[in-house]
Amino acid sequence: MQVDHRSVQGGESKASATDLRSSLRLAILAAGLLFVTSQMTCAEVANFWGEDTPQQKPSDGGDTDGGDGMWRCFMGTPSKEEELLNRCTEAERIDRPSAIPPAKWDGKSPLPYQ
Amino acid sequence: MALLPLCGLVCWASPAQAGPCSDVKNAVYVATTPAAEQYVEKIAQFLQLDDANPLPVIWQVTTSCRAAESVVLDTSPTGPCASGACLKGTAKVWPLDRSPVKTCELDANGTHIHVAVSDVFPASCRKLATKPISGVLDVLGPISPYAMVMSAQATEAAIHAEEAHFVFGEGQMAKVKPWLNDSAVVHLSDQDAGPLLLSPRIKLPIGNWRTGRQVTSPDEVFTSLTMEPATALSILPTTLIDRRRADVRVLGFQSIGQRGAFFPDRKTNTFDKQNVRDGHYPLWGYMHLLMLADPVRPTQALSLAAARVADILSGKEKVAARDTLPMQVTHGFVPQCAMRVAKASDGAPLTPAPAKDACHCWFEKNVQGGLLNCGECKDGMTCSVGTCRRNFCEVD
Repeated sequence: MQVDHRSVQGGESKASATDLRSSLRLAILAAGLLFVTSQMTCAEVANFWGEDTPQQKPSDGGDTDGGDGMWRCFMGTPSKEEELLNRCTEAERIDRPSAIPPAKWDGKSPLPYQ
Repeated sequence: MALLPLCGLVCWASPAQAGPCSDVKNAVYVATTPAAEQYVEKIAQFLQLDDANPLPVIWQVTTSCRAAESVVLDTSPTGPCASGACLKGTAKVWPLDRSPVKTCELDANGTHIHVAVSDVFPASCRKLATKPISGVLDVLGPISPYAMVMSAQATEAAIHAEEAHFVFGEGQMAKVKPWLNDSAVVHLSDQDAGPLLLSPRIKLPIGNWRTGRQVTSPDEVFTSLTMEPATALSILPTTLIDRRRADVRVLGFQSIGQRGAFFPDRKTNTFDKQNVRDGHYPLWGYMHLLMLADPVRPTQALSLAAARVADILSGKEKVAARDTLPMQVTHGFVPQCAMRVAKASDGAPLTPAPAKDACHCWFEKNVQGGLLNCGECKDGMTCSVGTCRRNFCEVD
């Protein structure tokens, strides 16, 4: 049996082209995923506020951080007081709800005697 | 010959027979806060009894603002005392025979004070806040942390700044549990550094404090706490609290905008002041060493002896061939080289401030419960990371 080397060669060429397209699609997909992931990571790093597991869960279920039980601490290099106060640390931390009766202060209004 | 000016002191047999302080010639008069009394006493002992160039020191304990006023308002340092300047009453001094500290009486018309040791900026004091302060040198010494305290039997672990605003601004009417007994809330006075350092942090100007029974001494504060173990509350310097940890419960403090409360130290049973040093805990003041400036050379102190005492207290100069930084640590202070934050006034926000010639590792090594994860560099060995300082590889 004669073999048409050109057709075989051509068939190899077609197969190679298909493989190439698949590889390209995979590469583009991977690059896309990598880009999306990197953007998410960059966004987290850019604001430097991460979540840490609470070191001490409030006994009554209270949570000053919105009720999700996570402490959002600052992970970057602090440049202002808010970042210093809330920088991630291994120090002991007490998290409990405010003891001020809601009827007295809503937690948002300016403090009355300042 | 240097000892001759002190000869009068050995004649006093007891405090009841205290003589005039003026019997001690060429003494430096120091007004100090309760927070620094024991440190001043120790420095005075070394300076007067062990230093090659002895200098007698006479000191009186008072509030931060009264100490500052005694110097800042002294417009006639060689004449009669100006209004608000100088101090009167009983002071303390080391006798030459190394017997316990004795008392002496200051001049009935007031004695000029050479060095004021205050834990607040002069501008935080009511009488000094209205006009710019000139002609006074303010040398910053180590950091003096403060803490809110309850009885050791109390069950509360922390206080929020907003809660303290209501407790001190409105009292029991605010119904902030467990602080429901106005007579059990005590402090030394509105001239004391405790309330003055707390005020800006709880957004309650000192003139708006409604609650707080005034007591006259830290010992009275400790006694008051035990009388009402469930509700009593006060604020004291940690230099005093740390000596009586078993008697009190230090409360964590949650600043406005902070997520969670922190103690001055990393844990309740350590003495490392980690949260003071890294900016998680804002209740602290600098030790201010206030002296009158020389009108001709305004960057120099009017009294060279006073400048020497201030330099020793701040750690710039040795006493009796001893480095005073370890003494600062022993007495509960935090040397500036162990700080990572600073502030420009008592009410100013904390800012990151890497210490010059940092000594974090050395400090941790010298306090109970400090972290011991630093590299050592004894005998001048070089460090793979950081700079060798006081035998530790310090990373600035």
